[in-house]
Amino acid sequence: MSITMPESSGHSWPPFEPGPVLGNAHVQSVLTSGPMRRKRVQRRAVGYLQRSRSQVLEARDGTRLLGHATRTEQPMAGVRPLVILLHGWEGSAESNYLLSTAVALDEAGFDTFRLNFRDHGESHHLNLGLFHSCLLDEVLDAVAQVAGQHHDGPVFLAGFSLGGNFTLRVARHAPGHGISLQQAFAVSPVIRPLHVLDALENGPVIYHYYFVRKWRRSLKIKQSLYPDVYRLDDWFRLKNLREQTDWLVRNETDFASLDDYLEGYSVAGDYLTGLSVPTTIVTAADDPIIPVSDFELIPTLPELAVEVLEQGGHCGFIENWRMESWIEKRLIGELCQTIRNV
Amino acid sequence: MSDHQERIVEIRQRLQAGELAQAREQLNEALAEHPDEADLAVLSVLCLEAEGAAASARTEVARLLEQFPQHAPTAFHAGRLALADGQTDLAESHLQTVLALDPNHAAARTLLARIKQRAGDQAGAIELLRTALRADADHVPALIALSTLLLASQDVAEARELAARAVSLRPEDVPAQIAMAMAFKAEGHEEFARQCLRNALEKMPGEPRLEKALAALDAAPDESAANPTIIQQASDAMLRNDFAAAERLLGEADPEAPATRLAMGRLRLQQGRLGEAEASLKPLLAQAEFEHQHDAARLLADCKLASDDHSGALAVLLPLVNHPRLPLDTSLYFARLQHSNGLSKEAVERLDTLLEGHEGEAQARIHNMIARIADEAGDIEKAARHIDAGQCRPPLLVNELNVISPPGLQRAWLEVQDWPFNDVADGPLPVLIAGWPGSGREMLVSALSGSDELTMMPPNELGRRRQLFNLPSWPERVLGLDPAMARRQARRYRQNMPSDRPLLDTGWYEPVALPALCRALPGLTVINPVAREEYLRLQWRLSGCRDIGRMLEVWQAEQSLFEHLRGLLPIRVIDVELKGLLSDPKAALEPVASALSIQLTESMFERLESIKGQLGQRAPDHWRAYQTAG
Repeated sequence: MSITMPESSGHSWPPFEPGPVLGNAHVQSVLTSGPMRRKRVQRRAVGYLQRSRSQVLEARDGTRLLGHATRTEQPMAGVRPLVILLHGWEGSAESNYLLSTAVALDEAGFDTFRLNFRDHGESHHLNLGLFHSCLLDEVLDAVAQVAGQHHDGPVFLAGFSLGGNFTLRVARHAPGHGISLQQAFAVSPVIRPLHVLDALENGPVIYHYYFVRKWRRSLKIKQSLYPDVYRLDDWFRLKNLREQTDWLVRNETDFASLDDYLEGYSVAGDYLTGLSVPTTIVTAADDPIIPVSDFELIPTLPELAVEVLEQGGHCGFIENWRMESWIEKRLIGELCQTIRNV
Repeated sequence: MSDHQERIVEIRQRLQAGELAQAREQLNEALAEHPDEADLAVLSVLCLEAEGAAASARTEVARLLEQFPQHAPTAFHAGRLALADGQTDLAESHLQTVLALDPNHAAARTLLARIKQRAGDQAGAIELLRTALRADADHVPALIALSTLLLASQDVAEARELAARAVSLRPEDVPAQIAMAMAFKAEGHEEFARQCLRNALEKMPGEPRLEKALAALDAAPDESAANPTIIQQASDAMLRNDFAAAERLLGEADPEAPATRLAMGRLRLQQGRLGEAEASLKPLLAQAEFEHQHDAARLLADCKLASDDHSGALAVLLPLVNHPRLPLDTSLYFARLQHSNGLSKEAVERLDTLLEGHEGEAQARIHNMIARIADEAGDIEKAARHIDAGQCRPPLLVNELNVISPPGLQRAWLEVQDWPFNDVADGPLPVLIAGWPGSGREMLVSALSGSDELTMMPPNELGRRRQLFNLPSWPERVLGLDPAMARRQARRYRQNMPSDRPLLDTGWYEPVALPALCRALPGLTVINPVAREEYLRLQWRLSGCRDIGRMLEVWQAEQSLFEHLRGLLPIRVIDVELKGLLSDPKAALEPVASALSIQLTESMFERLESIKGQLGQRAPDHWRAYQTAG
């Protein structure tokens, strides 16, 4: 796969030029989910959140997923596009990057739907079964329902990190599920989960710690809600993600091994071959969680554009200390361009 | 498992299954074969209770206590039944007996915590429950009780952890599910709370407590905020010194309701707004309900005392003192007021009369009050006659130390002769205050808390700090601790604390805790009050402690260990003679101030004098008078 750098993309959005400190990958990756940004995002999102309506979507197998729909108050002339947004692992529809992007889209005239994966956000109570990343069908069903209910304009799908991985998989299978997507957009998506686990284990401990902490919290809730179903005391004694994932794969899924599970949601190799939904991936070469070499594992496909920026960290792309996001402008710019071209 | 142990299990199972007749029959057969088996005999109490014969159960347990005075389960059930019957003092006494026989009896500690909680001592209850969980981390009632208490003090994260553990251990336990739901609700996860209760209801359809809890969750906010709940929440807020929240809550309650007036009176008293407190309380003195009159009068007396009006306090209580339902607590409070008004003789006479109508624990409390008043009035002979009969309190620290500082752990630290670390701390260091009750520790805590140049560590987070150092900690663990972990402990200990001044940690740390603290915080300071054994012995006797001999043994062992550790560890110890603290506080505190680089202020001395009076701290050589009196 040839990787396109933004300078040569030929579009009109501004280049991503963080200052010297903000150029650091770890600063980017930490700031994006950190409290400093959270305050600003929450302040900006007050009106947006008041207009959001929660909705529980039921997949064909009975799985229930929680989402939040928001109709924009500033619709575009003649068209009402919708963007379905998918968060990252152990994030939620309330995560900084997702909420901030949703608000920016709302202000730009897009309706939005922020979908929580199973056991993410305030949704652990909705299903007895545990979340894992190979559970694609329920997400496909939920996206199909949301897209199917929207008749006023084109439907877009955008996701971050693991949500970016889901975005790519949903885009790949959308036509087969009767989902009409105008375009998909994946930010810092997980390509080869095995490599992500390696990167988390071998990189700065802060990321590993972050995910372990959030995962523990999530499973504590699940165990508390279904104490006679989940006996996870042994899991809670484990200290690292590999052991924890392995334990859950062995005890709570039908996968034969950890590798089988991790390969189960990999989009490397020929997974995306046959992709018919125009799809853009934007990632950063300095992403401390997603190895940039993984993007070499994606074949060149006519409907897929991959942009690797030099900087941006993991789902970062923060432009300045006002916490303004370049990726939001990039996403909105591209979606608007698509709408103009339709 | 022996034959009778198998039978015990079977009988218990039958009782749990509601097969009462079969359980009784099996028990009678077993008792015929093993009449002296205490574990079997105590089941008769459970049988009677299950049969609804609570009074007979109490009679039976009293009989068994005589037969098996050293049997902890019998004493436990005696305490449990007494508590259920509202006999708090008796219950406490039985439960203390249980702990003397079995210091790791988590259930007894849990019930003792309930007693403390009912008496308004939330912090004491929390400490007891933490100790219970150190003895048995899986004791579900303690997990639930602690979770509920922590929720009330807004420590939601830990409350959730504890409730989660409780439901994980006993998914079908109704109080555990309710505690879990309440923790979720407090975190703002109302849907999780509902799901918890719905899940439990699926397994236990129609369970009234679950239905009630679910209905409360589903109720509109104004419906759930019924008056008693508001008052409870306001009381909780007052316990946290969150006066603004208490004020706001009471603003929502019916202002004329007696409970609101009492709560408002208590709030104003705590705020020092005495006139407003009295205005809120006075109308209740004309109430028909004695309980309202009484509660208002007690608070009004407190208001008077707060303005140093001892005669006013006495006058407020006077119309109630002959009421047949006057609680013993108030009778004792009244006697103290008589004493402080110069009516010591009348106070003692009144107490002598009271002795006739009471027995057991209650009688011991009266003896104790007579001894204290006589002692303060200089009638040493009279005090000496009552002092031993006035043993109404469990020995201080003895049971707790058995758990947190067991002899094996002490021996292990005594054997450590070398401290192989030369670390230097890189942030502010704590100042700890050692010493047992009565040794001057309270005066030092009170005085130093008044210094603006020390940062006070939150007293209510002592449990968190102790957990941080994994106390109690054995030498292998402390000496083998990874340096990075030790640095992390130090960082977490100082979390959110300013870095420019020493940290005053007023929590009580037993000597065996010092190595773990020193590993993370080398160079910490311990202020060590030094008191004579004879002095402490008298203080403890006058405060009504039982088993003084055992207390002294434990105290001596702790002293020996402290002496060993001060030579071993990188700590700075500042000895402060109690004698000096009592006779010339300025001179006694100057070395402390100099070592800590702080100024001594008038307010520090005022605090010291105030606590000295409250504690009834005797003159340094007062104990000699009792040698003469025999």
